[in-house]
Amino acid sequence: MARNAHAYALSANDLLSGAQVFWSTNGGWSTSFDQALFSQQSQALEPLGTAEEAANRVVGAALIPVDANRRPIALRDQRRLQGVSVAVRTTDNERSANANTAPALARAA
Amino acid sequence: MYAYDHYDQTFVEQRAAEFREQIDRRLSGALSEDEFKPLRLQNGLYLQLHAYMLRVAIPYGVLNSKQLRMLGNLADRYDKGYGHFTTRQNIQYNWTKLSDVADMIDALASVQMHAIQTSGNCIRNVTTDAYAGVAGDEWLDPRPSAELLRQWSSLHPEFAFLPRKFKIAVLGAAQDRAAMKFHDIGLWAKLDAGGQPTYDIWVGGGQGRTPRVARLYQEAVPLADLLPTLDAMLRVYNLAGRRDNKYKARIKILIDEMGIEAYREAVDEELARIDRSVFATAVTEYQRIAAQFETAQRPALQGQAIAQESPAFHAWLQQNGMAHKIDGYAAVSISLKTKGAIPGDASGAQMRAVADLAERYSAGEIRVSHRQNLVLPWVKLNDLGALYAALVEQDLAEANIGLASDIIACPGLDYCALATARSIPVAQALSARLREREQRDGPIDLSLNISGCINACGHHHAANIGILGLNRTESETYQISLGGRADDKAKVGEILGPGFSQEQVPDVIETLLDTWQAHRRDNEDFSQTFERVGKQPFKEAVYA
Repeated sequence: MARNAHAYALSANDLLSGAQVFWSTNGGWSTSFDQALFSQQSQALEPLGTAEEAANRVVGAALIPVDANRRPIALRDQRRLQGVSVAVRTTDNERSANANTAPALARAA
Repeated sequence: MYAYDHYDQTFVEQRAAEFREQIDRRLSGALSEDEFKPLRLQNGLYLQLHAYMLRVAIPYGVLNSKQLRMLGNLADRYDKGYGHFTTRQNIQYNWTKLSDVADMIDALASVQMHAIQTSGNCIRNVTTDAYAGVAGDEWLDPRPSAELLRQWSSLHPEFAFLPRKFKIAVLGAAQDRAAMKFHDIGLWAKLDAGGQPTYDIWVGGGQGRTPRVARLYQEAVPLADLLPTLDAMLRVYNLAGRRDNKYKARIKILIDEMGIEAYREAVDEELARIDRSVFATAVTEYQRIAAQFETAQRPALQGQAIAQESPAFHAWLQQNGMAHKIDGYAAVSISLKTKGAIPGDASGAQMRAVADLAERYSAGEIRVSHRQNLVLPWVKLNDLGALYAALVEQDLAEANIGLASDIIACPGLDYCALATARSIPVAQALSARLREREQRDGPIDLSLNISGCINACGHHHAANIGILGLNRTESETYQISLGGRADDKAKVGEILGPGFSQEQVPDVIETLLDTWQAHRRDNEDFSQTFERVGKQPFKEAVYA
């Protein structure tokens, strides 16, 4: 596994939304990295990711190596955790509201 | 414009229904991700860093107002209020939910659109000149050829699982405005002495980690021979192209390894074997398609004058206007590169606004350019003032088409699972800096493209100034290349030297511009200066 890794978190994409999620200390998936479960043994998390993919809850399960401050070591993981560098125009809640109130698309077009 | 017939519409609707069923099976667990992935990719659905991404095909970059309005509505209803126009004239939605995709595809089918073959190792969306059919230097409208290729390549039974993706561009004008020589196959359509279409075929171009300018395969291929020739070219690639290493699987590598002569001989052998009867209707179909585009032709307008006004208007028209092949009209580009903006992004409201303007001023037609801008191709000269005023209201009147601030950029590590560095914040910082410089010192006439990884979706190899974002020991670094170009004198840029941090990039680019100005003679463009003085002065300036 990654050199200099102090511990690992388990990450994936949620099957439905594609959002990045983390295996949490609550025993389920969370969108908050603050709630992520860390293990110093990569082998402890890998089977969990495989099982969760097989259970059809997530896709792309992968370990995130972190340093002693629980900061991702890999640039890709750092950036992914930070989220996009620009303000998105619509929040998920607003998008849901749009979906509920927008006219039927065929008519709108 | 080409309008779907019953066959086209049925094909798209059946495919939409099929994909809905496949998504349902994925959601129910009947399909694993390994089983579903090739199916979703055939329908343009990727899984990115933060969400699914749906890439919608815009065949040869042509849209009608109803379609663009639908794209805007999809952005608001299913994405976070915007879409991203790409260098392949498509649009991507970066915040798609799997549970919404089937409804999105149905909505697209209702306006004769789809996401088929926007991913996967198949023949992708055929691209062309955004000014097709209206450019003053055009000898043949490439859109009927592109539509013929769309029909030929859609679900082509032999070419659904090629060694790697395959990109085709078609041109019909003197000037290359589609980066034709950076495609797997480029077709340069011309007219023979009898006024019939012929095609110069170029092969083996591409960017990525092994950039290549296409080589001339054959000149003046008649229309009747076009599809058999392409079929034979693809067959040889399909059989001989490497499948052991995805980085060596594009046709450019096959041409490198075989040599163009051996490839040509292999294609000739294949062509001799090919059953031409299956292509018997191609010329008739071309004529049927072409007739639909001819309906867009309009009579020349007499005595129309541009009735405006402000210096800003004239600057905009000078920079964003394009000479039209019919008197009384102009083609006008709408820049999606306002100061500090994300290149190629448009909000749902902006898309609907442009759709409205297209209906009012451009015969309901819009184009997407490979430089990630929009084009209104049919604007009457005496409507230009009103159009400009309306664009100003929408913050879409930036007068920078073809300038340094008209930056091409891929989504980079903000969204893309393949990226090695972010490109959007670099583009935003440069856009702000360069637009200020242009407004202060005048137009900076060069191309500046940014890619967030070696796959080069941001066309950095083909830019006068290219920027490639790399990951060096878990830190973003940006490598500069100079002297690339995507026109008929296509050339791959030369790497300048070690990379720079994100914060350094704007100053480095300004230093390069200062160096160009210091060495520039008369009205040389960047390529002319670079070819004359080489990279040494630029290198000395930035690494001093």
